[in-house]
Amino acid sequence: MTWWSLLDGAGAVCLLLGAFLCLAGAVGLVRFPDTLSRLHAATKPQTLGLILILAGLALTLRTWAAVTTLVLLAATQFFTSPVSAHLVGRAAYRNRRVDADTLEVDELSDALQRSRADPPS
Amino acid sequence: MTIVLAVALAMLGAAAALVLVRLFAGPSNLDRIVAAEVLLVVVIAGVALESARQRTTTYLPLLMILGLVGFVGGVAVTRFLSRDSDQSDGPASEVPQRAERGNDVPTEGRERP
Repeated sequence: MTWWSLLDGAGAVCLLLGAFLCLAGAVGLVRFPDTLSRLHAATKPQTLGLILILAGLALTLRTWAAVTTLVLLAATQFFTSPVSAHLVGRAAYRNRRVDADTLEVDELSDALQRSRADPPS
Repeated sequence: MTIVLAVALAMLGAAAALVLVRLFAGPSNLDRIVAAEVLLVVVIAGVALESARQRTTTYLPLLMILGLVGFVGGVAVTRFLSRDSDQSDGPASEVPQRAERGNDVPTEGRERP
């Protein structure tokens, strides 16, 4: 058991966990009833699953060029996936794709009504 | 390592099939956008698995480009959809109508002189 085989094993475990998270997110995407809950399921492979896959790849490749590129890719994904998720959720709410009975708290409708009641001068 | 990669690839294939089901059956286009983004993540994971199998760094720019293209495409289509439905949607239901302020199209100066 050398260090290299240990790193290989850790990389294999990370790759397996990342693939499992992708599968779990896909199952949630099929089974969940609502656009917002599907968004919740979709963010699992988008962040943690991808991070695990990229960590496994970095542990397998073990070169600094690969590690920096993969860290850059993970950071990009961390910054971009909340933006697109926010846009999808916003469009779902404005398109009335949201089932109001499933919401525990709906602060956005209160804010919208308030902003309609007293418009800015 | 080969067995691990085969199992991971099988899980990714099952995930891609399930995402395709949602992409085909999603009631609204927003569900399809979400499914398409997840499908792109699955593709990225598959390319990463192939890169780990060959132990080569050739595919890393491809991963980078896939991530960026997926983000830009998803945001563009979502913006297109939300703008379209803001202006031509039907009567109100329990979720309130869009307020006047904060609109995408700048209306100030036209409605209130």
